[in-house]
Amino acid sequence: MASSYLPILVMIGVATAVAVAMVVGSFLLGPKKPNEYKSLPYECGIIPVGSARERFPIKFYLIAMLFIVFDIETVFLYPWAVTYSRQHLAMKMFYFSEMSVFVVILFVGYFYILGKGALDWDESERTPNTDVITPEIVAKRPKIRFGNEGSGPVDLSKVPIGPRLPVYGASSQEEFQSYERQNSYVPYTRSEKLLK
Amino acid sequence: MLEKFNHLFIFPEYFHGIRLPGVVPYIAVLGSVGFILTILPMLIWIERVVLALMQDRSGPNRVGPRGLLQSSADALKLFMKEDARPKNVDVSLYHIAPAIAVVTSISAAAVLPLQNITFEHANGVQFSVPLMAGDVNIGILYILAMSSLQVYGVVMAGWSSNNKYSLLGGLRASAQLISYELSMGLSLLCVIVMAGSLQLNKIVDSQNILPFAGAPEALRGSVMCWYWIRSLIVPVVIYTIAMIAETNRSPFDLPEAESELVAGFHTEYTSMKFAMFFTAEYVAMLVVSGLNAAMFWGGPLPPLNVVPFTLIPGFVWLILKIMGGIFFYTWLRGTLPRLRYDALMNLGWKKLLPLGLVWLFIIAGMNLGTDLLIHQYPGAKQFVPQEARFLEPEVKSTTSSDDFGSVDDNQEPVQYNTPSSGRRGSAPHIKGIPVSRVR
Amino acid sequence: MSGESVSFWILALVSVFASIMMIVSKNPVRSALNLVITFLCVAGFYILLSAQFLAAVQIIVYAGAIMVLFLFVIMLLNLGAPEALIEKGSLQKPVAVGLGIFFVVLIISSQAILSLPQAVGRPSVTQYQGTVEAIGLSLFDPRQPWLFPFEITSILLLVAVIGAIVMAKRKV
Repeated sequence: MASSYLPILVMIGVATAVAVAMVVGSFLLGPKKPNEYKSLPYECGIIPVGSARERFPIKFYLIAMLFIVFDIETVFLYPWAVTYSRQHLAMKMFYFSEMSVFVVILFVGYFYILGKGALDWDESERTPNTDVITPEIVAKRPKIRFGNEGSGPVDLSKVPIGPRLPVYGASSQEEFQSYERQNSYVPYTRSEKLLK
Repeated sequence: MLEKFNHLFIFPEYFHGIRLPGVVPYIAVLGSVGFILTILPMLIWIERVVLALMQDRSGPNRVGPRGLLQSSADALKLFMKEDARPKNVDVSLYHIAPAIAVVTSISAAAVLPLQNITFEHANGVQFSVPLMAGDVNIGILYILAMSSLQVYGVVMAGWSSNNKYSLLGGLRASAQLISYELSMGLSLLCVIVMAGSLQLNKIVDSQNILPFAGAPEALRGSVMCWYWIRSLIVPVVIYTIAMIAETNRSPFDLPEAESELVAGFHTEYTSMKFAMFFTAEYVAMLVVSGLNAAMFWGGPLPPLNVVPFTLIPGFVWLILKIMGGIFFYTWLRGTLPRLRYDALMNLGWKKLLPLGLVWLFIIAGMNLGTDLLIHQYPGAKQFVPQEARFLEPEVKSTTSSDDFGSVDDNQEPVQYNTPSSGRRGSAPHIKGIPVSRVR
Repeated sequence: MSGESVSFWILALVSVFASIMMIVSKNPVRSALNLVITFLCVAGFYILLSAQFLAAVQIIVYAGAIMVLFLFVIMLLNLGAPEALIEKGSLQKPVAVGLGIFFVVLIISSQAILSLPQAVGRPSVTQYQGTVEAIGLSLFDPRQPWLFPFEITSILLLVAVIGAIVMAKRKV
């Protein structure tokens, strides 16, 4: 009853105390020297572009919805499983059959999901096996266009190539300059010479 | 269970006016939290040494003998490091997320049964009380609830960090956690059908039986009575796969795949907050291995009911079994490459989920078939395991003495109807099953 | 004051505070997390009422599954920018405050007018009540009226599966 949950409450309290001690301990012991570059989001050295809170594929949403359905199913299974083995023979057969009906109806839903391909994380899995390349598969493949079809060979000497910006991640010169204005420290001082 | 050891140490019920069985859960709380916190550096050391041996290199060997103090030194170093917080994070969620991860993983350990402790009442009746923090009716559901709350630590860390890798890692982790929770629950249900209880100490007790009537007493509660073989191996395989996926360990460590996501949901965490996610992961490993040990591998039961084994106390056996689980984790990490994400989802949803559901009905059908057989041929009874069943609901009304305040004090002295009548004539408000008198 | 009523009042205060924070908070993710805290408090109430199985199910299904879906939806719609959600000049706030006051008055006056019977002492709760065993024995027993609703639930879940696929999957 409720009193037997008191030790669990104490356990959660002790665990919380441990967590708080860890946070406070590192706050008290660690040095605090923040600077502009330390507080940038870590993207392997590239200056981050855009917001990090992007939208993401609907598959995750679908998985969460299907999880709710099957989670509720297993919740029904727990009281059934606990009381099943303690029944007498006739009642046990009844228990078995009623839960079979329940699960079979849900299996219908499961096979519906399978058939619709909702559980295929990779959509290409439903296309035929393309490991062995036959002429039919080559013929079926869409032509990949590069945008320069029919223009003839490109003379590289005439292609205008501007000065390469040394700060990777800045998508335009304006962005790079605005970045320079914000910060007194410039990662690559050679860039100024190159730009001039 | 553990006859010899439990008969060596018998405690009186009242000690200087304190009712000792009421204190047992709090001892379990302190013991398990203390054990978890002291074993953590050792776990990391074990993992590093085993990996090093598997990869034929030295491993940690600078701090302490055989690098034993390396992890403690690492923890100390992490305490002294700067807690760098990137800008644009959602400050409160960013700070709460590692705390949620640690709290949920540590408090999930509350319902693991460590062993039984025997007490003796003044009139000579002995009864045993399980050494566990929460001897509650919903034992397994409590662990599952706590592990479903672990999703929040991951999602909040991923979302609040304002980092693309973190968000992707958090999403992957949460989808993986919820997918494998289903298979985990189904594999546990296979055992629950046979044991007929959600209380882990009762499940352990139901493994403490004779494999068949007339078997020698040495086989009582031995390896062949544990559920890994009695549930026909498939559930323990499903559970083991699901427990590795639940704790985000290799080969299912997609959420923190360092080659594509840097460190996943804890990319932006430094110093002790990073270590807290690390702590949570290892504690979760301990807890799911403990659940594995208790459900499928007999928990505190010794592998054979003979003297050198039964002299070792139960919690030592449990810890040995948990360490076996940890070794298995490390073994897999040293052996298997990481799965692709679609393969991970396929394994969880298309293979383990239907297999677990079908196996649950195979187990239930076997139970029904056994009953039918016994009904047809009563002589067949001696060939099936003597199941410990908790059939009779102990219906008894309680008075208002069930408040929180009345755990220890204000208890009337226990009145026994018949002191020698064993299981039946027990005091109604004593937790645990009375065992027979001292011989 | 017994331990039970102390824990009731703590849980009550926390849950009311969390639900107010859920409504007031401008960030939808924080609203969702405050709702999770409210659910955990409700689970605590269930335990105090010795409905242990319901408490576990409350956490597993509501906090562990449904709120994860909510969080996914919030992140999917990218509602993280709270500025876009603030409506200016709408009647929402005054109407909400008015309805809230009306509701409180309604409760108090109904208590006064109808003179509802006050609970006397504790209802007799057996130790066995509210456990998983009790729920299993009554839910699946053909002599009890709960068997048909239980089987119908599977149809409901089937409809939920189909609905989820139809809404979320582009190529049906």
